[in-house]
Formats: sequence, C-alpha cells, structure tokens
Amino acid sequence: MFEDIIETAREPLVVLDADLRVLLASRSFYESFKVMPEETVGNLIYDLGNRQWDIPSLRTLLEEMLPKNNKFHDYKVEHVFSSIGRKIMLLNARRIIQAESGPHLILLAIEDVTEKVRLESELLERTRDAKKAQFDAEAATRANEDIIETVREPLLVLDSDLRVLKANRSFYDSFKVTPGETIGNLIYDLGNRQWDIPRLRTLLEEILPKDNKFDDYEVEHVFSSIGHKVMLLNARRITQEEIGSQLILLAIEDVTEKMRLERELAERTRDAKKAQFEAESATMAKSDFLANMSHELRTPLNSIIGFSEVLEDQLLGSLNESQRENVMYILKAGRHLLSLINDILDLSKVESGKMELDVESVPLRELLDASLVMQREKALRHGIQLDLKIEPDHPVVIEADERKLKQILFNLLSNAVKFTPDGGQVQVLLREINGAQDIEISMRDTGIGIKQEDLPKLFKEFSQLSSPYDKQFEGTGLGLALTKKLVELHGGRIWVESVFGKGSLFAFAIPVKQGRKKDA
Amino acid sequence: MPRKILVVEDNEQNRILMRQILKYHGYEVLEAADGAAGLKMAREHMPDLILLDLQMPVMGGFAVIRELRKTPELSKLKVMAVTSFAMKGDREKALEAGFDDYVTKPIDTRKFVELVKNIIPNPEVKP
Repeated sequence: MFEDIIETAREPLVVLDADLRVLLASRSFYESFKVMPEETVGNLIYDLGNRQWDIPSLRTLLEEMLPKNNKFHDYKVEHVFSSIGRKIMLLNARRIIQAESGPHLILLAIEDVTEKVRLESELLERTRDAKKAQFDAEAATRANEDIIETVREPLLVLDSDLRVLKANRSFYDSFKVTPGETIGNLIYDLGNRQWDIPRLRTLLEEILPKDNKFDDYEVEHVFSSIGHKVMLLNARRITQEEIGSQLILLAIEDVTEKMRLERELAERTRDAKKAQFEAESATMAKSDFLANMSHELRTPLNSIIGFSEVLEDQLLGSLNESQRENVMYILKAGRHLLSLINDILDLSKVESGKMELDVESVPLRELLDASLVMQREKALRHGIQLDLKIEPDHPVVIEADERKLKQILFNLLSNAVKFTPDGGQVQVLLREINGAQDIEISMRDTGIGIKQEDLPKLFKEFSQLSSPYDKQFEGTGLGLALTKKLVELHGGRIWVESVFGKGSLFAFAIPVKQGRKKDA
Repeated sequence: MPRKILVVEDNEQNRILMRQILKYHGYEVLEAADGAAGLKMAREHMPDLILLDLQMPVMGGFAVIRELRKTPELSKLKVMAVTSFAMKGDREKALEAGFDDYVTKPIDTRKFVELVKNIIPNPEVKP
C-alpha cells in the first residue's frame, strides 16, 4: 500500500531508512533525475548518480532539520547535476514512525520546480516589461497628445473604424466644431455630416489601407458652416503593438488662404508681366516713334542750319552787322535743337535696348588728345589751363565703341570747361585700376562745384544746373544722363565728387575688355 | 565755260542749298528730282560730276549708278553718293557699287565744297 501510494504520486518520492539509505524510489524520481533503480536502492542518498546528490543543503536538511523537527516543508534547493544540469527542487520530508521502538523511515518528496521557477521568473519579467511598456505607452500617449495639442496644424486621431479618438484644439478652431460633436463620431459624420467628402472617403478607404499613408492630397470642399476650404491632407496608419490595434493620424492643413494668396500672386505676376510687356512694347513704340520723328525733324532742321551757314558765310552777298547777328542766332538755336534731337534719340535707343556697342580696339592716348583738342580753343579763350596726365607709361588700348567713348569724353570735358571760371584749371587723368582690368578717366575742375543736394539728380534727364559763366550755348540737359547710359553700356560706372564753390571731379571707369556682347 | 554738276536729289531744299553753294564756287548746276530724270539729264548734258542721292522715289541712287556704269558712253562719268543713312559699311558699299566718292547728309556746307573740289578742282574749263 505504501508502495502503491508512492507509485501513484506524480511527484518524485524517495523512502530512506534512518541511515539515509534509499529503500524505495518512485518511477517519477527515476524519470526526473535520470537514475536507474540498480544504482539507487540500498545506496546512501548522497551517493546517488555517482555522488551527484551530495548536496550541502540536503545534508543540512536531513541531518539537522529533520532530526529536530521530524519534518521540513518546501525547502527550495538549487543544484547543478552533471547528468541533468541545473535543477531547482522543492523539498518536503517527514519522519515516519512505523513501530513504537523500531527504526523510523524518511519520506522525501522532491518536486522539480526548475521549469516552474523559470516560468515564474519569466512571468515576473514579462509583468515588469508589460508594466514598463504600459508606462512607456502611457508616456508615449501623453507625449503624442502633447504633440497633437502642440501642433498648429489641425490633427485628428481616428481608430481603424474611422471614428475620431482625438482632435487637437487647432482642429476645433479651424473647422468650428466642438469636442462634443467630434469625439467618438465617424469622421464623415462630423459637423452635421459636412465631412462626408467623396475624395476623403477615397483617401481613407482606398489609398490609406493600401499604402499605410498618403501625402499632401489637396481636397477642396464647401462646408455649410465655414464655406469653401482647400485642405492639404496627410495621413499615417500607426500600428500600436501593445494594443494590436491601428490608429490613423490625419493632418488637415487649411491652405485656403495660402492658395488664395498663391493664385492672387500668380495673377498679379501675370498682370505684372503683361504690364511689363505692354510697357516694353510702349517703350519700343516710343523709341520707333522718336527715331522716325527725329529723322523728320532733322531734315528741315538741316535746311535751317545749312541755309543759315550759307548766309553767315555771305555766299549770297554781304550782310550788315545786325543781319549777321540774327543769322548767328538762327544758327545757334538750330544747332542746339539738333543736339537735343540727337540726345533724345540716343537716350531712347539706350532705353529700348536698341543702342548697340560697335566694339573695336581704341588707343586711349590718341582718343584723349583728340578730345582735348576739341576743347582747347574754348579753354584758351577763357584762359583755362587744360592738362592731360596719363599714368601708365605703356600704351593703353581698350575694347570700346570709339564713337560713344568720344561722346562720353566730349560731354564731360565740355561740362568741365563750361563750369570753370576764366583762368581756372581742368585736369584730365587716365589711370589703370582694379589690377589693370579697368581704366578710370577723371576730370577735375576748379569750377563752381555742385551743392550736395543737387548731386543725386545730376545724372537724370533734364536736370541741368545753371552756370554763372554762360559760355556760348547752354547744354541740352540730357548730356550727363546720356553719358551715364553710355558708360553703363560699356559695363562701367560714372560718379561725381564735388565741393560747392571749389570744384568738381567727374570720373568714369570701364573695363579694358568688353567680356559680353550687348544682348537685346 | 563753267564745269557742270548735276544734283539728283528729291528734297527741294537740299537741292537749292547745294545749288547755292556750288554756284557761289563757280560751278554750273543742273538739277533732277528723281533717279530716272537724273539719268535722262546725264545723257543729255554729260555733266562733269553727278551728286546722286541714294534714297529717292521712282529710281534710287544704286539703280542709277548701275545703269550709268553699264552704259559705255556714261560709264566714265564722275558720281558722288549723297546719303542720309550714315551707317558703318555704307561708304564701302557705295564705293563698291561704282561711286567715286561719298558724302553724308546733312551736308557740312563748308566741307562739302572741298569734297567736290577733290574730284573737279577747277570750276572753269580752260577754253
């Protein structure tokens, strides 16, 4: 009967005599601890399986605890068996008295809890992990919520059934809905079914399940509450591992205003381009008109000048003094008018881009000499000293339009002479600047100078300043404007420095080489 | 006998101006207002010099010079082009077409005579 019980119990059981020799062991003991009955029965328990059972804590239990208490209960013993590896055992034992005076027996139950302990600790670990995960998830959710709330863009969090789990303040503000009529509702039902937008259905029900996201879809819709809106939709499907469910994050950017501005901008750009085109056409028309008109004006004007010259030269007979004087006035006015017409025509050509540079190699010393010669007579008459200084000791040849360069020099030099009092001085200086990549020509006069407030308008059309030394005929008021344009046409710049009452310095710099051809 | 100069020019004032200057310097001046008339007068008068405007109605200066140069009895006539479009290359084009010289309008009344004198130095033919 004793044996039957032992055999039936699923738990490994060993019966020892008082000397701790094995009398009996259950089948489950043999199976669990991989030992044979032959090497078990009759042996000291410590000697079992090649002395593998000589476990210090087992000795303590059997030799100290048991004699004292007659039993011990649920002692956990861990031991590494060379045959079966590491085992955790739960030991229970009783001393069984069979007869009053006879030797007692020891019933030892050895539960193998290795697997159980492993599972338990794993469970514990998992519980810990789960707790951590839960905490993380909560933190993440909190963080997500913070993000959602923080983002300025309207955001909706939907569950996989497209019901609204969360919406941020920006969403409520933008689309004029309250949380009460939003949370828990199908997105299409929001705001009295205003959100039942076919395009949105396509995006959420067809594109999103396929791609897990969609980016920058433009959806236009007229909401009864807030009117026409253009929205830029972005969505992501987010799988939450712990919960095993899916969320949809839907960002709805209201780009109505942006689109309106863009359209307006495009329209304005178009308008501006049209206006620019019209202005350009107008400029072209103006310059064509001026070109034609100046030709028409010049023909009779040339007759006026020609016949005046014939009279002045007295080819048709001698004139008296006042007749000669009158002819001289006609001639002077005619020449002034002609230079006005020429300047206007040139200016309009520059403005309409029709003025082209006829670039050739120009030796500057020769050009400067010739330009000074033209002023020499007038300078002499007024006792003005006209000096030329050329800094480089080698010949300076530049690429330029010679006729236009002559015009520039003529305008600046005649101005300098015109605005210099009798007995004054005009100094012309040529030097190389910018590593000899540019040349600079300056004209310093001891003239009346220019008031600071007059300097900015100096190069504008018809901004002539009056000269107290009225010499011969006054200028056209276009000379400096045209000169500036001609300098700029060469890729150069012109400037003026002046001290009122002391004199002025007009200078221009142009590149030695004309890198680019003038483009239309 | 003064030397004869034929002025072929459609602008009447220019014609008169040239006539006054040339006459003052002792030349005899013949006038035509278009190319065809000029060609006809050239045949009739065999002038010592023709001043030929390039831009004219009926028959332009280039057509006239072609006609003159290929007509044997007229091919040796001296012809000076008078033009108002003074573009680069115009001079070369004119000389290539057979003109003896080239002057731009508006004419410089003082230099104009010099150009004429280069071709026919003496306004009078020695008898």
